[in-house]
Amino acid sequence: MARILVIDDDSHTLRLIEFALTKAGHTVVTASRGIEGLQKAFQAPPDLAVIDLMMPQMDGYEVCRRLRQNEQTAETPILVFTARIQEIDRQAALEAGANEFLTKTATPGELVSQVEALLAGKVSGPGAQARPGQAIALFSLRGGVGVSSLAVNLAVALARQPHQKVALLDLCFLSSSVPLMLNVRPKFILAELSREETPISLDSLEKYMMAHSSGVKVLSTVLSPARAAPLSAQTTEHVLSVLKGGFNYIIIDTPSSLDDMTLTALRASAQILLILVPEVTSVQAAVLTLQTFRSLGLADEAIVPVVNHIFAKGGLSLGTIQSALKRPVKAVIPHEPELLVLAINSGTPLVLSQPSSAMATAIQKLASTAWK
Amino acid sequence: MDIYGRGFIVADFFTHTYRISARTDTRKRSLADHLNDRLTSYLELYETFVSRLHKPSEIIASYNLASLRKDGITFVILAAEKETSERHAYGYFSKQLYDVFLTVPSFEIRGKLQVTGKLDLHVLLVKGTENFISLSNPVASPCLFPNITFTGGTVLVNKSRIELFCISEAS
Repeated sequence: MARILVIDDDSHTLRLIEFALTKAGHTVVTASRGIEGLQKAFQAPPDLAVIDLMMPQMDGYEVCRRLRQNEQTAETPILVFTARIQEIDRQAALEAGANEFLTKTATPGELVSQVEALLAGKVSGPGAQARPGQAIALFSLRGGVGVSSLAVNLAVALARQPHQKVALLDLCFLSSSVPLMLNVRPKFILAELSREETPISLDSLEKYMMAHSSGVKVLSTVLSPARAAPLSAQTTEHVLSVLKGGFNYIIIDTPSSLDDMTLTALRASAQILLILVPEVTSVQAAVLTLQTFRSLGLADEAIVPVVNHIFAKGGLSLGTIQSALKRPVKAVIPHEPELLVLAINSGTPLVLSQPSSAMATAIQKLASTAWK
Repeated sequence: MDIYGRGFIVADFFTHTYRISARTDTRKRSLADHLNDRLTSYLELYETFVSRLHKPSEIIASYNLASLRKDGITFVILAAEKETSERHAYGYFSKQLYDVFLTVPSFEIRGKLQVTGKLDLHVLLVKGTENFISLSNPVASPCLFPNITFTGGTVLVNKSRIELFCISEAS
């Protein structure tokens, strides 16, 4: 069973957590101050840390940050357990390095379940790191169906799983919206890679990546439309193979075309999420895409249809869509335009700004399926 | 919220410039009763964590003991849904739910108000003896930072701080 470090300044809460976790079979080490907890963590890194936010002298955010900065504890799963209930607190905790956030309104049973879930992630962690990264491409032949927003949210949801390094490769070189959706500013574009040494190393590639507070690293192909240029098939293939060596997941936001760059990215992907909306032209485009993929020899089992409800009413039924595609739909993303627009405008992905919304929940479910 | 049955309530207290997360001992009463108690003008706070409104997750100060003027509180957000005064728990009149939008200094607050009997805004806001009114399912946003929202089970709003009070039948 796991060795768990619990840091909480409240002695009653500390005893209660210790009792619940010990009863579940874990070894519990306690600390009543942030600095004391850090010392214990650095002396003997725990399998997991449960941290309160509101502590005197050093608050829980700072404890999370210092644990992440230390090489020994950089990968330790962190569960923040706090009486602060606001969404802004959850966001700040995740940005400080926590993997999960639980409010003290939760029962001891819920706390234990959350700890077990995080530990289960850790068990699969090293194996996941040892194997090459998995590319997941999001594609639609028809634009305006929400491919980029799904790619952004899926990447962030995957990055929130323990021990997952996630890259988001933005191949929409003509109309990229990924940097805006994450509120990051690209400094370099992939097309400039040709000036770099050959072959491109992971270190040189990381210079071109923008780090988002969620942990996602973004690689963009566009700085301005005037400087927009697609990558060659060879560069795309090489970039993806380098990324697979350094990241567990590479989420690819593809343009609505089947040029050499896009086809290479699709071929290199373990999964292709075919995004469609429940209306006739989108479904027709998806059917044509499936036929084209078949003729191009793309692995049929890699293609996963996902229905994105971008309008409220009047859409085709799931049954109609599935019979047109002749395959099941893996995920249905519910309609939540107000929250999504707010998230896009604020530059904070929905899975971070409104994690309990129906749309964020569906995306998190999709991410956890991919993760497992 | 009664933390593991110890009579303490943890809440977010808001003035028009600060967020104060703290616990207070309500001595087994509700916080609404405690706030509406006219015999005391201060609230004793324990384990107090202060944040500025423009960065409400950043803790700038923490103290084990603090005192907060009740009339300086703009509103209080609690996790629990049932935090109303005990006096509202019983009654022979029918209860009606209303959607409320109100403004207080620096904030706009939306929530649901339960009214027993006929709605009379004058009684509710002026003649009533309680200093704080309770709304359920609240969403409070600083008007200068509308992307930040504070939610909870209940909000207790200081009536003397209310500037605009809008009400309609619950949708």
